[in-house]
Amino acid sequence: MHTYTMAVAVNNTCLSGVTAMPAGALGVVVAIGALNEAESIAAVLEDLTTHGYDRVVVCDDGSRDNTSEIARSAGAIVPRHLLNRGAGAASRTAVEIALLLGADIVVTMDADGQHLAKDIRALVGELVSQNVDLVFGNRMHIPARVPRVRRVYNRFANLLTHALGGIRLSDTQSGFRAYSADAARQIKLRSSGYEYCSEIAREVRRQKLSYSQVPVEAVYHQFYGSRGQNLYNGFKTAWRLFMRLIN
Amino acid sequence: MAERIPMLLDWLNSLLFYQFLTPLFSLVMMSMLVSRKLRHEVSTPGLLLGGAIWLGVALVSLFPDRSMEALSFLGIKEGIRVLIFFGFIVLSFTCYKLLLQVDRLEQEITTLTREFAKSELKKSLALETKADRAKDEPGS
Repeated sequence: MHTYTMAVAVNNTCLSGVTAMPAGALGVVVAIGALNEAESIAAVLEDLTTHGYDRVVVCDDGSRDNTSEIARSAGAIVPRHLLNRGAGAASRTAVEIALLLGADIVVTMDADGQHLAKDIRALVGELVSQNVDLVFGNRMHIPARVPRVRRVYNRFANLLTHALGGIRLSDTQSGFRAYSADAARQIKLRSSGYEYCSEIAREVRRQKLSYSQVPVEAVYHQFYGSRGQNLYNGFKTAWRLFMRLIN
Repeated sequence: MAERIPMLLDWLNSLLFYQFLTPLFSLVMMSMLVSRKLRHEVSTPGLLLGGAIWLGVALVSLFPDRSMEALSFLGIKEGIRVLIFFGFIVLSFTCYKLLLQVDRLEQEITTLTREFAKSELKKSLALETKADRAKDEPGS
């Protein structure tokens, strides 16, 4: 079973002095897409609440467990896909809902606890201070902390993404990103699966969006290789990316 | 007639395994075609065409040498490789078109799923707002 995340927290206040103001005062939307994340979603939402992101939209991509119920009882808004459509599809749904809710900034992160809410401040701070359209979270800034399979996969994915017209990044496959609302509107995703990360990199180049990277912390669980992004899925992703090019 | 039986037995003895299997398979396919015709699921021309194809498959496997003579009579002895190559091209192109079509269908399903999720969310949020308002009203 695969997992992926996108959290949307909406706060309709104006945007200024990102680093100085409490999180609740910023127009930040954090989007979480979740698939069978009943074990971790509560902790992720609690982490967000602790850091001031108390309005969250968790896009349930057809979970077979009670991810929806847990997220809802934790106070999240939970749109639900009747059919499992993939990480990219859930990402797009959550971003569209975030924009409908009037977000100024959209932050995407994972539902499996890999990303930490404390890093959202760095993402948003970079977005505002550098005045860029997108900020990518970079998990590879300390390679020794990253599992080997993950490092190999990421290098392959980065090369492939760049070869297929995407921007050059240290970590193209990170789901931890911050977008300005305008950039979120401009990026048109057709991918449904994990290849959406690479498609975003291509869209940034195609739409001529400005971007930056910040280091973020990543927590890798024991079971991570058996689901989510791994080498086998990497080849599948590469094929799907190729289909995007020709279709 | 009695003289032909040993000839027939010799011929059967000389057949390879696929030359038993292929006509048997053709027979099964032809019988399925007939039963579909009886259920009115296939037209008469369809039955005749399908029957001719499967009969041809059976005959080619049973009499490969005679089949090659027939092909050369039709003038495609030298060009058989071209035919095979052309067949691969057609199949590859068909696969490619199918893949594209499947991909487009997947995208459409995703769009439908998303729009449905959004509309259900709007409905449930509207219901929640209504319920909250009802709670706040005096006398509720």
